[in-house]
Amino acid sequence: MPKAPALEARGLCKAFGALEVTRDVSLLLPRGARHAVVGPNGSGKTTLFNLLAGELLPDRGEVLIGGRDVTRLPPNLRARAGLARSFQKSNLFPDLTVRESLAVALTIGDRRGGTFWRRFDRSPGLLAAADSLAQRVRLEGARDVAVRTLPYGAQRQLEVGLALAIAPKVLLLDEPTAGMSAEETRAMTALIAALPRDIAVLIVEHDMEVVFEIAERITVLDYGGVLIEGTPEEVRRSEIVQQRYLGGHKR
Amino acid sequence: MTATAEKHRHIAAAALFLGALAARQFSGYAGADLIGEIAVWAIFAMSLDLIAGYAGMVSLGHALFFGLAAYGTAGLTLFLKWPSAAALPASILIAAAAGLLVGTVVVRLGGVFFIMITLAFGQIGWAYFLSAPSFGGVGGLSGIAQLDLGSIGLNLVNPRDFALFAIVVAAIVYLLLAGITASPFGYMLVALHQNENRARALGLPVRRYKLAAFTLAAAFAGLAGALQTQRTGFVSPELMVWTSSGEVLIMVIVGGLATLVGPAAGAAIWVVLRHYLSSLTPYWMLVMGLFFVAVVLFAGNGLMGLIGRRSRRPNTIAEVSLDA
Amino acid sequence: MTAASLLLQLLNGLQFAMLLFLLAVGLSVVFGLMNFINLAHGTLYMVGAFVGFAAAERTGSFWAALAAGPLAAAAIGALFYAVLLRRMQSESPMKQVLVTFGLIFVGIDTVRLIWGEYAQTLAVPSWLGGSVHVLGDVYPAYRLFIIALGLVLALALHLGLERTKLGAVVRAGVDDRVMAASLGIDVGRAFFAVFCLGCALAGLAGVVAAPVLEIYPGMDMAILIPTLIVVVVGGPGRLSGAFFGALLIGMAQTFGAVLIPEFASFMIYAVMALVLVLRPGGLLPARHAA
Repeated sequence: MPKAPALEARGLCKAFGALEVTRDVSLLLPRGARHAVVGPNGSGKTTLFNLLAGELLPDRGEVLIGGRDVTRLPPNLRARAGLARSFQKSNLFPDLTVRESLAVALTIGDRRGGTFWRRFDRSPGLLAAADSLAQRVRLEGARDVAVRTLPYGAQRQLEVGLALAIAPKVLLLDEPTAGMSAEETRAMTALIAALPRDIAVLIVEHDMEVVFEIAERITVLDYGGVLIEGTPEEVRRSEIVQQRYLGGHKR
Repeated sequence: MTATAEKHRHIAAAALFLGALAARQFSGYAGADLIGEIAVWAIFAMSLDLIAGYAGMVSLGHALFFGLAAYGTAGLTLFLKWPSAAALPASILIAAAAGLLVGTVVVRLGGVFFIMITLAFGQIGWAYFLSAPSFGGVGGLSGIAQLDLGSIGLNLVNPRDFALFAIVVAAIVYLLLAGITASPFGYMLVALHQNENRARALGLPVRRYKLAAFTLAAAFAGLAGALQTQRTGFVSPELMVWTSSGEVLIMVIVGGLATLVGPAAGAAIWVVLRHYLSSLTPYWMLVMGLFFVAVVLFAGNGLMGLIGRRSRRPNTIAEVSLDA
Repeated sequence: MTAASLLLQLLNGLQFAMLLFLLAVGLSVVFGLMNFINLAHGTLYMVGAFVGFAAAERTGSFWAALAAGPLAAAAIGALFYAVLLRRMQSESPMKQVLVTFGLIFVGIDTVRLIWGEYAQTLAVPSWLGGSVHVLGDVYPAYRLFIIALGLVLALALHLGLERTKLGAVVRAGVDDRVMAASLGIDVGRAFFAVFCLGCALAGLAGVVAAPVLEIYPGMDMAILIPTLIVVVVGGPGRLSGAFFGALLIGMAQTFGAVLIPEFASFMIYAVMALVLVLRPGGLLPARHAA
């Protein structure tokens, strides 16, 4: 019996007034997928992302996580169903430390937030788990730094860390390398490449170098609809893509 | 987790409570009465700090629960002839139930709207008891019996005995709230205060946590209200009027949001200040208002912000999130 | 309830609604523009009433009251804006709101200081005295005046928003304050004008209400609570929200007092709770500056 895909979108449509922003978009991410969604500005990447994350409800179509229909669920319940997302504009807990932020996210994911009779920092295994998560997102040196004072790249790393903390089946990354220097981008790319293989990762990105390095499948959006979907090689060689994006990106 | 700021607060709290005990030792009846009043308001203020400081829900109607518990004690002992030992805990439950009821409506709102509607709910309690003949109307009810603590050698009618009792209760409340705010639940509140959107996106049922905090705060406010009846033996609608809600908020802000000991100290400062102000002029509210404005504008961190290291907890009202 | 008494209560409800509207519209539109609620709005209502009363005492003219009240309220509002509010633009809205809360205390004791503790009365002017025949019953002409005044002002404000340049700036500012500012529109001046207008309306409401309700220190909070409920229920940020919210709350309060007097005060809270549960954003969608 084939396992249900980690994430599936079927025929998603969204219009704002007369403007169709998402036209009949379908996606399928098997377990452990590495899938990128690309396209020029205005192609509907953000809207698609928000439809998957639950910030927007589609006019038509479904979103399924692990085979379960989550189309009508708001973001917090999608998180409970196994979907985590990062934010394009860092959306963190400004006055907590890195370690505390991760510990909080872990607690939320474990649904242990209701415990009121024991100290937070004595929750069994919590600090160790937070530290190991910090290591995974390459922030082990900044554990006790207040988030507010973290440099930009570190904040973006923590963004991913928080999403990972709730042990998702599906991880949506919203332009993780946005605004990053070349070095920061390299660090983030390595971070993403090292993500656990049992998590399906969908990444919306502008930087095609990052995409070609990480993605195993790419969906190219154009005016809200899917222009082409395939492996990086297929996309690169595709005539449609070449036609549409004359000049394209380097390599 | 960094313990320095926390440790300092506990030391400050210990100093405050020991200082209160010492002051009681050397006071006469009038001084002890003041200390007893401070202890009651300290509990009240700490209860507000839980929601206003930690969870970021600034309520302008917290006195509703303070007054409801007081009236609950009065009603249960005077009309239903319950013994005080039963009436006091029951009143706390009444306050908690009211907190739950009001909370289900108000936690849907955030920021400014939360302030507005809590103000409204506070007034409705006041308006009801003001015109309720069975509860004595504007004059309230008197003759509420004190709890009999003869078995431990305390007579609550005696202000010095009451002060001792109240200080001990306040210390226990401090320890309870300190434990709760240091627990995972406490951290959830802080997290949803600092970034409600993110907490929700991670899967936290935010409204549920806010409601739990609101109910808990109402219960502790009720404890203070019940204790108040033991101090004075009477209740009146003034207990839940908006100025009372304003005063307790001043205590929390002056003392320092999200510090617990700050609001307790703020209670001491304000009760003493009000006592002397009101003997100087009938227009002490004018002074209070100006004082409040000045504190909000220039000392948002409160006392604990001035003397202590800057804690990483949000303890300025500027950081209170506004989004619904 | 007979048809005549029903009509009378409807008129009473409408009259109270118009008062609430005058108060709520200032609060609501200012919130839409500036993301800020002036909790001392009731204080301006109270000041308008007391100053209007003082002016009428001095001159014997109701017109003087009608002019003095709103002017005093607007002047105080302008002073508050210039001294405090403008400087607090960068502070969090929460801080601003708490400052206005502190000012309520200042306001009430200042009024007590000047006019004492007791209630005052402002007599209905003779030219508005008397009653009008309505469906076989009589209804005070003055209350009809209040209704008429409210409706006229509502229309005037609506036209002002839709047709004037200031109105266009306000609508743009409510929709997207940042964008409006970046388009070079002098948002600051528009804020100031709107804020002062809101204060003036509160003061006017105070004078107009005085012959019907009493003038006393504490009337500020008595009217503030229903006003806040109107803003939340109607949907903050828009004139129509203030208008329909005021209608709902005004009617609820009036009919509640008549039909279930013991629980009259709970009525508007019940309505508010119901609205918030069913439509958390208020009756009409809230609008506020991005």
